[in-house]
Amino acid sequence: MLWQVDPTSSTALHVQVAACVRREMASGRLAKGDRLPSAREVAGVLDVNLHTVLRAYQSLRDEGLIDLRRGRGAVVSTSDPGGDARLRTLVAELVAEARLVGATPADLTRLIESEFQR
Amino acid sequence: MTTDRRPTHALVASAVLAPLVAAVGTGLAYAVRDLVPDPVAVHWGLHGEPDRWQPFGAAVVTAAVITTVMPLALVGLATVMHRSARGPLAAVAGGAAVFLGGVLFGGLVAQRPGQVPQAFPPQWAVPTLVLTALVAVGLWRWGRPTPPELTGARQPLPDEAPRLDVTPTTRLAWTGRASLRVGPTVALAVVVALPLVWVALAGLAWVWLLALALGALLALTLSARVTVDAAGLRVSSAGLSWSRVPLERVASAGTTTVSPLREFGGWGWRIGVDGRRGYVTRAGEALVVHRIGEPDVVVTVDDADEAAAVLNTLAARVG
Repeated sequence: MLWQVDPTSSTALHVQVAACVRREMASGRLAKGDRLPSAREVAGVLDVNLHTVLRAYQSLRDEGLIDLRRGRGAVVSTSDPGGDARLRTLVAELVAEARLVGATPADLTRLIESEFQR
Repeated sequence: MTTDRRPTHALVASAVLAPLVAAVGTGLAYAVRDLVPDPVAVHWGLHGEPDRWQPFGAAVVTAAVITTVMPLALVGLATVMHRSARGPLAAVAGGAAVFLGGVLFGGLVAQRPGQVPQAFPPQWAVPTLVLTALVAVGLWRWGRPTPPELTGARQPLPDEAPRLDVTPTTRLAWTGRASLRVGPTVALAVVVALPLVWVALAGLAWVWLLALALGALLALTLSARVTVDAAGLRVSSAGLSWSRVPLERVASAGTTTVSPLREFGGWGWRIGVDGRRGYVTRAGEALVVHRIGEPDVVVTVDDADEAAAVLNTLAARVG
């Protein structure tokens, strides 16, 4: 699976790491029962702190997307990440992009509202 | 680019070593001829009791022929395979020569009249195993070609190499797995190991240990972890590294379709008929990494296109 984080983004690293997992689930590449790489491995390949990955995994667990078991690692616990997870992923990417082009939250909200009214 | 001749030299050395070991063994046998019973035991049953004898001369000839022919068969195999297989096969052939020589001649020259002959006399077993390992590792290291020096600026990645559209500050990585199907592999292993199981059932404790060790080795190498990150490509099973390709040595990455039996002669970590190195666990989609001045590395992973794109993007940054 693909992992990407941008340390220069103002989105917290652990949020970005969690977004990687959500994106894989939303695209169907991660299914129920699949095992995620260990937090240590992810921390190694992305060169981020182990606690950053652990925090990302914990937030995924709190959302009910993965199970964290001692000795078994992180296992995907739902076959349907749900619209919520997908929206979170899209919003995280949208916000990251907005920051890149210098759009404010107000700009973004206006754009979203106008899209709703179409 | 000049061809590194060391793999060929190592192979020639292993081809010379086999008759040499046989000659030394023969000389040794004739030096102790008067001490050794005639006929001598040449075959042992399950419980270590000798069950076949040969006249001294015939036994020596048999040992010499086996010690020479089996390693030379491996050398012959190496001459029809890709040249990059010469180093590894030299190690196997050289190790086999020492091992066969030690076991066959050791079991022969240690026999004394009135004593029960042993198949693996302890005073021969340990030195044989140590020497086998030393020779195999030595030949393997000798036959390992040095990758060509990376000189000057590298060639830019070809345009058609897939890449990801991300900001230059984005840290990229890709993790995946190449796994043999557990069911068929275990079934095959059990069939292959049936003689071992049969011998173990006859009550030899160390054979159980051997079977367990082989089983554990199989379990550990059944699947490999595939990682692409700022260090390049890494293929490893439980700490054992099959392949590492640093980003500087990546010419480009892409996807290919492999047929394990036809192109690699089997499954697992392999040298292909065309010299490619591969961890191949199934037919179909695979990541292929073209290296600078070395054969390609192939790994059967799902979403290989994504892995290739990550590797190309990272390699392009090294520039």
